[in-house]
Amino acid sequence: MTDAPIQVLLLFLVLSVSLLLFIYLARRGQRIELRRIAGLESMDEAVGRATELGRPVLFTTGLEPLNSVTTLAAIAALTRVCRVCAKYNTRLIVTLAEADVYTLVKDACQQICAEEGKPELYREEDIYFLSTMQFSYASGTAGIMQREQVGAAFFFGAFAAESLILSEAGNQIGAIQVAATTSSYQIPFFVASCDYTLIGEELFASSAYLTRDPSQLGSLLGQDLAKIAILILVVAGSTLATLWSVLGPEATWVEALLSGLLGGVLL
Amino acid sequence: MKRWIISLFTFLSGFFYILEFVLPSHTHMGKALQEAKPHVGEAIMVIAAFAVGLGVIGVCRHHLRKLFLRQKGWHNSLALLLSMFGMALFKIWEKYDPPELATRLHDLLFLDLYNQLTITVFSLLAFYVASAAYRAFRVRSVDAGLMMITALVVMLGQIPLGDRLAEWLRLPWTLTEARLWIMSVINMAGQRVILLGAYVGSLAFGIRVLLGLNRDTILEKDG
Amino acid sequence: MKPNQPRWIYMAVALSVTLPFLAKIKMTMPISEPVQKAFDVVEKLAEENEGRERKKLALLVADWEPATMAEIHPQVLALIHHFMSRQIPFAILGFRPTGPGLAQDLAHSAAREWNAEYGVAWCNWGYKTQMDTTIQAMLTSFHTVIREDTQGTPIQDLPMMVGFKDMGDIGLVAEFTGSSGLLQPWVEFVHAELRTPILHGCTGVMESPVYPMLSSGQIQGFMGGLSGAAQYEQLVGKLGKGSEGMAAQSLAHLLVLGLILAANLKEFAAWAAKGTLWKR
Repeated sequence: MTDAPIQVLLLFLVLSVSLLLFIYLARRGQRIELRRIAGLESMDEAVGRATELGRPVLFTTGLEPLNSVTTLAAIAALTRVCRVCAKYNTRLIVTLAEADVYTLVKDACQQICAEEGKPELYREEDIYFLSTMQFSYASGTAGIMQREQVGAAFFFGAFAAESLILSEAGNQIGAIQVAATTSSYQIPFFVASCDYTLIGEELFASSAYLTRDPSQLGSLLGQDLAKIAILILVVAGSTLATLWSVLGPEATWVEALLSGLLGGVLL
Repeated sequence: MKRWIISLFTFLSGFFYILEFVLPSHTHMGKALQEAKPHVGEAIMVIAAFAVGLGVIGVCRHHLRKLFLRQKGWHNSLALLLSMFGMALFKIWEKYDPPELATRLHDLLFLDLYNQLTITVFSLLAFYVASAAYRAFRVRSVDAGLMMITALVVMLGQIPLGDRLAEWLRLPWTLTEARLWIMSVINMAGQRVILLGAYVGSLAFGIRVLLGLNRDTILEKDG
Repeated sequence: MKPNQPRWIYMAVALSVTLPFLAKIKMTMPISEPVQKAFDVVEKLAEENEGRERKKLALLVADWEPATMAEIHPQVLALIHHFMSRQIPFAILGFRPTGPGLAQDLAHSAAREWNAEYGVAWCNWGYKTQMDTTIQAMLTSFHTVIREDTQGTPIQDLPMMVGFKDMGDIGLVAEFTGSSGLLQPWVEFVHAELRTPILHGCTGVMESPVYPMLSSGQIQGFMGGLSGAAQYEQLVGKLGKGSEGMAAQSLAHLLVLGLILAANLKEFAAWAAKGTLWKR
């Protein structure tokens, strides 16, 4: 097996240290401001609207299993929605496409209802493990949305082609819809058919944004600095590559710098 | 105590893969970890299989309750249980003693029913895309206008008629070339940015989960 | 949207897609760079195999589901025709339960035309689970992972697999899928380790994230959607469902563009009527 090149290891180290440093600083009291993310601000409003209409709320975590960080981030958002639903005495329906996620979500929702002092609000029959097959899951979720006439729908996680089926089903019943996904090719569909869409890393930021937990806020700052570091590398690499093509093979110093910078990073 | 045990197991299982990635293969430890990796992968497969079993048990409980209590939609639950167990039964029967009947019944459920149903559900997207486009794609700002022009070029560049249209309009380049430029330059930049953000975000999330800094997924009471 | 409007839109979409198929119009189109590169990769493998006693195999990874058959099947069939016409032996493998079976049907249909015998020109290694673990295991200990084909025949008993040692004997990996995340392990493990050329086939909507991988050299070519299939069919010289589908796709695209235009004209007219057009 190919060993990880030294450049990749250094990058990994820089990213990790940046994250851990800012988590530490945030825990020590460093104040961190976040810009407003409309989709996350609207979550409470969406649940409130569904409560006023007397309709349930639906949350679905997408296609990927528990070992995906996207699904974990979606579950973090689900815990927040579950807590708000428990506060407002609103029924929460959860549809899932993976069995391992089902076991975790079941326990999570039960615990949250108990923590909010409303254990009777938890209904096991409202947590559905539908199917691991994409369109079985999609048609099951769409069917539940339309039969139960949900007032708000949250699509958080990794989605594929079924994204539009889910969001159009919600549109047909007039539900307020919030989507958050890292699947870049599904973002246009969600943007076109949902009220609010969180793009890419905003899903990972959702937990920090909603809980204002110092560790998570620090991690967000660390991520931003990690991205700046990567951008500096990109600019440096592009500049050197341009110099290399302009100056030709005689510029051995450019070649040496480029190899040192990129090395085995480029596949 | 429970939180410590969960955190420890989470950390060890994630740290194994980090160490395997980081340590060079020519070192003693690196070589040992690489040799252990397939076995760890198999252990994960076994745990995942148990999770699937739990999911099946959950599905059966839910739908059997609906069926026996004749709750609303019980006939859907009956259809689900019959097709789930029927599919499994016919496939197992076919594997051990393959009468033609078992193969035919399995093919009926899988090839003739399931495959056609997924194709049908997927084909709904064509209709939904058209209705979403009619409803949502309105030029209300300069950005939206630019997006609309780009969509026009990309959609026309994907069909043979697009180049004929470009010829007729005497454009200096074909719509296929314009589309390729948009996809491989502008789109690629956007995709890279989204991917970069998503991957850095997932790295950060992974590190937080590994070190037990993400409380939501462990669900321990605060304080 | 008013309640009845979607029905008219749905009817228009149904007609725009169905009528061209009934008319059986085949349309040709210009060849784009990614598809040309995909074709060239296969031609290069065929040239490398000429004169070799043991030909390198191509690996056809069938990771699609029936839902995406309409776009993927024309791509795969064109590629199989290319393999068979250039006598490149290929093996089918899949990490989706339905993939290998669907690919096998396509291979059977093409094999009749080229008299390509199973076990000599092509074979089916079947469905495997746990993609990442399996691919990594294939790199280190191939014969513990791939032991027999879908018919239960031991791999080493198939004529095309005689003398096959490891993944180094695979000259090309062609991965076809309608889902995300299934291409990356081949790039991360196989291409990174062995520099095996990777060719990708995907649905039209999944094209966007593939361009960065083509640009950075992680994959060597790809076909996107039905237009990718139509282009590849032209290159191979066997027009089929891809080319037939271009008429339907053309009409549907024009319909969607027409709907967008109509909706915007309606909105502009409403603003003009209110006198707020220039305030926007």
